Amino acid sequence: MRQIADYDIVQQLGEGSQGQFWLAKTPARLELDTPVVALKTLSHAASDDDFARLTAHLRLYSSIHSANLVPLYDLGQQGNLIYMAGEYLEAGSLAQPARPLSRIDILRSLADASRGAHELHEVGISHRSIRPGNILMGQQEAKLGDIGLSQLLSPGLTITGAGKVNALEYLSPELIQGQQASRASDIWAIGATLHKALTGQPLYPNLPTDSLVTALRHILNERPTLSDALRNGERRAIESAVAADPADRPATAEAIAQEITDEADHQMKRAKQ
Amino acid sequence: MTDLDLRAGQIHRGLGVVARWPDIALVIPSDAAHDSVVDEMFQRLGPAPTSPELVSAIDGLLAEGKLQTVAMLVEATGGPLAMAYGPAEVLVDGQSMLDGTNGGVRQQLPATATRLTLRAANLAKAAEPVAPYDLRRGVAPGAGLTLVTIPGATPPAPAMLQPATPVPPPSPQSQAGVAAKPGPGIDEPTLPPESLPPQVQRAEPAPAPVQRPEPMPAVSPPGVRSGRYAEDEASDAPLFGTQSERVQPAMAPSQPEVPFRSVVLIGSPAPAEIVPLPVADEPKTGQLSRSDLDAGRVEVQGILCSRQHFNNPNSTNCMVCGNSMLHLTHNLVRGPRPTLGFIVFDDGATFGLDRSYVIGREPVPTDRSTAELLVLHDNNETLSRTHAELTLSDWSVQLVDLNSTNGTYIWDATFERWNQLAPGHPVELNSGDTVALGRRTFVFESVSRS
Repeated sequence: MRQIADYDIVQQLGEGSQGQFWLAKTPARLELDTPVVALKTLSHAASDDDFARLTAHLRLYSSIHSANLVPLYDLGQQGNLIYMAGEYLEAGSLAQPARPLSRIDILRSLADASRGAHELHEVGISHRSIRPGNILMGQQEAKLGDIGLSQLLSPGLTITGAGKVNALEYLSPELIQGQQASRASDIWAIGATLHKALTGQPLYPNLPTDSLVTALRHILNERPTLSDALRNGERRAIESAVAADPADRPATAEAIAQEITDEADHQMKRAKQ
Repeated sequence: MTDLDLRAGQIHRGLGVVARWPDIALVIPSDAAHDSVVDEMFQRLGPAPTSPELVSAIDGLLAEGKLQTVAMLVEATGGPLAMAYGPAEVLVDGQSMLDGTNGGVRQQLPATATRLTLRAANLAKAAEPVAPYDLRRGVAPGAGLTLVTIPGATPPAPAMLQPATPVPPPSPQSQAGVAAKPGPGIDEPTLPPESLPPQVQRAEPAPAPVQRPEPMPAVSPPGVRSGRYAEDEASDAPLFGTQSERVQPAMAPSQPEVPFRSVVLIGSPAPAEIVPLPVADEPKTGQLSRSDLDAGRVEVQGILCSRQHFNNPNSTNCMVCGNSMLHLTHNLVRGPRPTLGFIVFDDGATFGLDRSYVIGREPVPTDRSTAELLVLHDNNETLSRTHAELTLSDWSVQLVDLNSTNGTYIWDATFERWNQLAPGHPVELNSGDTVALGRRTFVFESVSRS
């Protein structure tokens, strides 16, 4: 059996731009009831300073008790491998849910994730990595997971080399330009995630694929094209979240959460009539 | 007439392979370690490769580190294009013009040269005597090749004259941008259009992995996906960039003997002081906040667009809202310097220029700077530990070579050549500039619109 630190690996769960996910048995030292955890690994030679920064960051994250954030249990380093263990959610993510989701389910998931993001913002953390694959389905509510860490390990980094083409649309123009992450840049990502989850369409349908530079130029010079498949309330919420000027977006993630919840309620009401 | 193909081909004796095809002359000074790689390449290229095919194959092998030494000439308008990587050189009329020993170089040669020689750089001067063969086409053993103009040789009838296949233009604009411009003289393999990363697709099942031409490193295996924790859709196309610089183990490394340290996060106490992220609408000019100063931000003079966004005084359009600023009265105000742009490396890694960087394999801070240390991986070790520094000065981005072993280069699109920076002398970068540090490259994009 494969092992990372004192975690016995059961199977691989997936792979992301930042690292890999494994299903692992819970080590006894964590004193948890759950038999398995989701273990994320990233290959990065971390100095003691790096590790101290990660620890401070994730301790702050873990001090938030929110139903809308995936709980983290453990952070560690073995050789050049950094690992962290968190709750394993069986129902999958918004990108690949285990069961089909209705429109209203998707809206409610995004509202939940936005509330999770708001909790982070209130303690001074930006998530930096909100996208369908990082919104996980809990029993009752959705949880925002896989907080972005690459910036901590490589300050100034906005796009990791191992990223994906269609992950670019979750990066706000000002982040691409090199500004610091903010509430507003996470709110952009919430808008882009909602658009993708509802329509399956990218925000930039004509994104050039010949090179990253031309793709980034396109994003900086063009406005997103919202899909015709959106309903009016959905369109309004997404349009405001992906406004070019960060100051034109909803001021907080809580505000966009409320907008999305209102739209879900509205659709629910219409469905009952 | 100085068409490459009209010249006689004299072979220098020695270890290695020499080859000539229409528009191409190639020398791979070699030892046994290379042989299988070279053999395989020749087999793949077939009997009549075109110059883009050859350049692409060579570049692929160089990028993968399978090939270190090569000198070649390809036909181009205005004179043959010469390339040398590793200990290989190109001589024009007996004078050494290019030497790849300290990093790949490429240069266009005068069409009027009588003798063009490709050979191993460490070859003794005595290598001048050449074997008494005239290699016009095909592959032969040898350590060098001299192409000599034959007096009175006439070009073939126009009907037979093949137009010179243009070498993929090395200008960054016409290239794949980020994945383009491999180190000085190391060109981006020309990818046929169908090999470009596919547009975002969502259809199930996942499409076949992106096909690249053989010499390119294979796309890393997608790994097992349970569908639960995958980053995004299974059909995600890989981000642009050469795969070779990425290290992503596909399997869990099992290393039970390696010690580890762990910090249990459960029950982490709330910190004494909580500083929420600022809510938008903070002032964009005026005094710097403490966090700005902590982050090494500085004040500069700029102008405000009609919506009060702080901009470079030379910009014509606002970098935030895009509004034109041409008709505004340009009152200079002070404000925290915003980002000046970003740099995109050949592997896709992108860094924002809201700060300065010292770049290298294992960079150490320079005396005067508060620059961030930017660690770059370089499998070929063409990068120095501390290679170059990018500093922000007022509204400009300056690049300075820090006495690196292999040098720092900026691509000159007008003359299609790499210009080396004098160590210690800062040069201002322009938007779109491609920079090479050893074999790693990046493109600088400014966010000022002027």
